Amino acid sequence: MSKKKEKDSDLKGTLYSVGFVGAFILVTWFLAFYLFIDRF
Amino acid sequence: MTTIKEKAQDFVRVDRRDGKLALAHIYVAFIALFIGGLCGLLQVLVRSGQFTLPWGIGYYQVLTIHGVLLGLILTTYFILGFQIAAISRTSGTLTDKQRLVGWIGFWVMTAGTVAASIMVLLNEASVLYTFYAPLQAHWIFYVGMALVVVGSWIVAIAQIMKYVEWRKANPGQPSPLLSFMVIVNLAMWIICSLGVAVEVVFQLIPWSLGWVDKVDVLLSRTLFWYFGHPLVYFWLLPAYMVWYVIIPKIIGGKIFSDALARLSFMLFLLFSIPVGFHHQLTEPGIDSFWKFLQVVLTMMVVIPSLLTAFSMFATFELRGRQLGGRGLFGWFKKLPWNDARFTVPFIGMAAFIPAGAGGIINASHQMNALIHNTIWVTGHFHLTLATTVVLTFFGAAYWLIPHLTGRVLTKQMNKLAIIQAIVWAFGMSIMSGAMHVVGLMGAPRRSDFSTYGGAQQATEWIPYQIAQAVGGTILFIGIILVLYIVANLLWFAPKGETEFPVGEVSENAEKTPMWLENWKIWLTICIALILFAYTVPVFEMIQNAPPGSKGYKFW
Amino acid sequence: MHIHKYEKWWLTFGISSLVLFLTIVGFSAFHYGSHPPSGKIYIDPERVDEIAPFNKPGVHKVEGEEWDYEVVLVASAFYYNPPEIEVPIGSTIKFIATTKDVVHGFQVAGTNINMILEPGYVSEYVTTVDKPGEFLILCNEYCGVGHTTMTSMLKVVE
Repeated sequence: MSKKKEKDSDLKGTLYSVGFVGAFILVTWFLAFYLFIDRF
Repeated sequence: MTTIKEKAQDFVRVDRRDGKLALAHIYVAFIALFIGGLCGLLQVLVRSGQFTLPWGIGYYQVLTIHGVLLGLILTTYFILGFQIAAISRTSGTLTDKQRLVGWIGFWVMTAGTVAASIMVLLNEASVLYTFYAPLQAHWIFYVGMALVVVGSWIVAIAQIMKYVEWRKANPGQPSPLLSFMVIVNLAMWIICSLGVAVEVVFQLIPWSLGWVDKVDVLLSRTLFWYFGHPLVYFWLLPAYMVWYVIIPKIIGGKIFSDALARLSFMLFLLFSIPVGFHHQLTEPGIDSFWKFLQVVLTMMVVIPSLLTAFSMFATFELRGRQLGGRGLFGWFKKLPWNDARFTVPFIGMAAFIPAGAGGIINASHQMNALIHNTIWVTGHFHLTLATTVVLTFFGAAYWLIPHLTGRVLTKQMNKLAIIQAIVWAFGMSIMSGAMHVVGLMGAPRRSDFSTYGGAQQATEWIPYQIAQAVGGTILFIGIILVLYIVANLLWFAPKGETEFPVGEVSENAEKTPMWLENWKIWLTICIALILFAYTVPVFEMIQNAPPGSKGYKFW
Repeated sequence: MHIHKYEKWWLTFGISSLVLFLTIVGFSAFHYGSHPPSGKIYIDPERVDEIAPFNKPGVHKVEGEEWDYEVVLVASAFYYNPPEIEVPIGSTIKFIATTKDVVHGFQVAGTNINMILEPGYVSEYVTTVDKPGEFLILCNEYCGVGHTTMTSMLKVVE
């Protein structure tokens, strides 16, 4: 990874990791929203 | 590839005299951790319903001590101590004048802390750290708190003076990343704490002295929360400094991007402040429109954290792959898990995932009613502050203290530090987890144990409150462990040289654009956003103000 | 400034999620009227007992409004008046509350009814009570030593 341009290809793990974070945020938010809608 | 120049950089030591000033702050921080932590233990025990406080000590007195010491004193002192060391390390030794200013600030803060503490101990100020006018504390409590804020400004000025000196000596160059971050945090701190200073000096002090009869409650709360949310970012940004600048060095990698790190700090400066209404979403007197506007700005402040998450993972992945990690997640195993300086903050980072997700829920406008003032919120900030931030601070203390005292972290202490973080994570999962669940069921925060007249719902909360006590007890063991390690590093560890790790930007990174350090632009946008978010609603508040409130002492 | 391709994806995804959340809550608020309690009615906190509707706390049936009942509630250290509220299931209720002294909370546990009561202001919230049961009303804003003895009960009956 000495050349800058090559860097763009070796962050797959990072992409999946942040993808997990994003999915977690979405799921918890919609669970909370569901609870909010369900309650009076 | 480490150049000779960089190698030499690694052994730059913080000047002993600057180190003393930094250490003075760190001492106070850990004393606050002990007393505040002890109060936390008492609270969870009381709330379990199995324990009552002896000698007529009040629950809310203990809660006030817990909040003031851990939310304000531990954090402010540790942060300012860390930042003095960071400035001295990256921008050069403080001049005698700068150091003197630093000491004056330290003693002003400490005088304020002592004055306020005495009033709380005398039960003259059980108003919690959020003040809660028209509950009225003794005027000395408010003066003490004002001195803490003013003292922190003085310590801040010492750091800013050094930065200004560096910029003058190095025209046209971006400042050292760590110094830059320190200054962003201080700019935010000064701008936001003006709000609480105005509240305390112009509203609470004259009112508690009897110079005026009444206080405008909504205005006082608005001024407080104008301060209260950036306060949490004042805690968080030093943790981000460690993540962005220190951790890459510890794991042997490089800073992923200097420019993106600066950009994310500037975004924090812009969006941390005009968001206080998201703490007041269920309050009367503020239009839903203005609340929503600040909710939008609150969501903006999530963006720099998204940037940070990516940068952290990328730093780890690049380093892990360099060490031979293969496949999608092979790099993860290659990270230096047996190094407390990395592992302890890493656990803090992991905690920020649920903490951040919870924070977005809290700020979601009308959805806030689901959790407002329930113990869910307590669970939330025990993940953000009491896990993410403090574990990062502990991880930093494990090299900062020995660096300043000329000692080393031994293998056993390193191991104990990792155990400490695991104990912390375990205790916090139980306590914060129980708080989140029972908060959704309706259990309130800032509340003594109560059966609520035998109500069915309140009975269902009790098992969770017992779980909170179990988790809280484990956390207190964690506090004892960290204090043991800190004491070792202060007085008993073997003498030696410990590095103050400061990461370098990878050699093929682009040059940092100078507009990122153009304070005129950023401060102008920052002030403009604050005026945009607050002018109209505050004007309405003042114009339509109901008769004010006289003071009450209901404790 | 160079930004990695994946970082662009991530930021796009993250920011879109935030926009989605804001759209949902903004649309529910400004289109469907599901606002957080933000009443802008003012009252002299020392004369609450004399001023309508707070001179008659309790449950009142109303006609010609978008709601069926008004629940008028006065908080003070450390009581709620009335100490018990009974309303029929399925009815739409407007809660109207204020405080006579310090700041109090008005939270109906297990529901979205959650308001801060501030001296000088009237807090209001309209909702349709569509679940039967007894819901504990409690103070969730620290108000003094008797904070957790402040209770009332919302009974939603068939």
